[in-house]
Amino acid sequence: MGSDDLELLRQLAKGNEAAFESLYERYQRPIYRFVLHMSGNAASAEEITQEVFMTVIRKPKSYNAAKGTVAGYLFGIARNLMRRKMQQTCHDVPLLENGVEEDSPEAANIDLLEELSHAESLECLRKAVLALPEAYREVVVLCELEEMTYPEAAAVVKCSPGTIASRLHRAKSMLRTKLKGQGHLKRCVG
Amino acid sequence: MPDRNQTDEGLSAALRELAGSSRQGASPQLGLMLKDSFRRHYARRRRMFRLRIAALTVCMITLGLAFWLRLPSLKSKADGPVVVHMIPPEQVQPPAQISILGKGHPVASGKVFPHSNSSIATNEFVALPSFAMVSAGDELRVVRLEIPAEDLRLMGAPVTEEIANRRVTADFVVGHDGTPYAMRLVNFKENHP
Repeated sequence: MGSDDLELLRQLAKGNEAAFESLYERYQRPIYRFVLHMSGNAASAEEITQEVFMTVIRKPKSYNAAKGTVAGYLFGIARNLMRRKMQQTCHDVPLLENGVEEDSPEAANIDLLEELSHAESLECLRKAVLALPEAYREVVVLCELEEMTYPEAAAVVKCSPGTIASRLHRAKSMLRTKLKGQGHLKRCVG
Repeated sequence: MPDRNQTDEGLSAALRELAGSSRQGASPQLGLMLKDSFRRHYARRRRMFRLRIAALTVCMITLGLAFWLRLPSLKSKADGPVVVHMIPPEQVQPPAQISILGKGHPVASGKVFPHSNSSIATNEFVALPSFAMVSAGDELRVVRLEIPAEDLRLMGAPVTEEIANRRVTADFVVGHDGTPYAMRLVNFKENHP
């Protein structure tokens, strides 16, 4: 996939429209979903996806294969654009940023799969994800929602896979605490 | 600990469900718009590329032309321009009458071309080294040039140091391609700086 992506990018740089279409079809969904789950805003997701591919159209040679995969490059552009946008709009209001309680026995006893099975409860979960601090939210989005491996997510976030693992663990703790502590679960499941 | 693992799995499953329930991609309009942008961007780039190539070609041609036009003046190391006179065929001896002086006899200022401002002329052409390459069918003609004597020496004419810094008028027997085969001195004058 990596060398294939690289070849697509090379062809794209030569003006090959089919190569652009292939690359777009391959990455527009994951990038759109990544931005959507990070921002919680479909319009922002659409706008940033557009900006990512416009960057690829305008500067296809700015990709450096030595720095990572094409996927990592595209997610990196999306991530930077999203951060810039969030700084402008101040939508990022992280909750639980200061001092996250470790899992309490009560929290561990909650059967989330059972309780978060309806649309309403999913909405509660979506809000809880959006309320996570950005560094934790992005690992949840990349590893859980986009089902990337730790090394893949590490390439996007530009940190080590170990950091990804620890952030994910902490993010899940935050989610459990958040869902339980604010009574969302009870409300969500009725 | 098993409870914790079960909760983790439950949370992961719920998150996957959340991912599945969200909108899965950008609108089809975005795809169409981006493809259109791609086409326009690369059409513009191609136009710019062609324009650059055309500009480069024009520059190269202009430079070549400028160099070619300046070539005669570059060749002339003297102050004045090279003056070319075409001599009517009836006024000059035909090339067939060229009498070849040996290349080993340099034109001495005191002998053949004495030091003076008076016009001198010899009836004999002196063969240049290129004379050996003249072909029988070549259409020869005679041109008159005013050039530095030093240039004559570069062409292989036997010119001594004494007159090397003077401008001379000479007749040249040239081939159809401009190759000089022989020359004769018409006159020379002192170089007045």
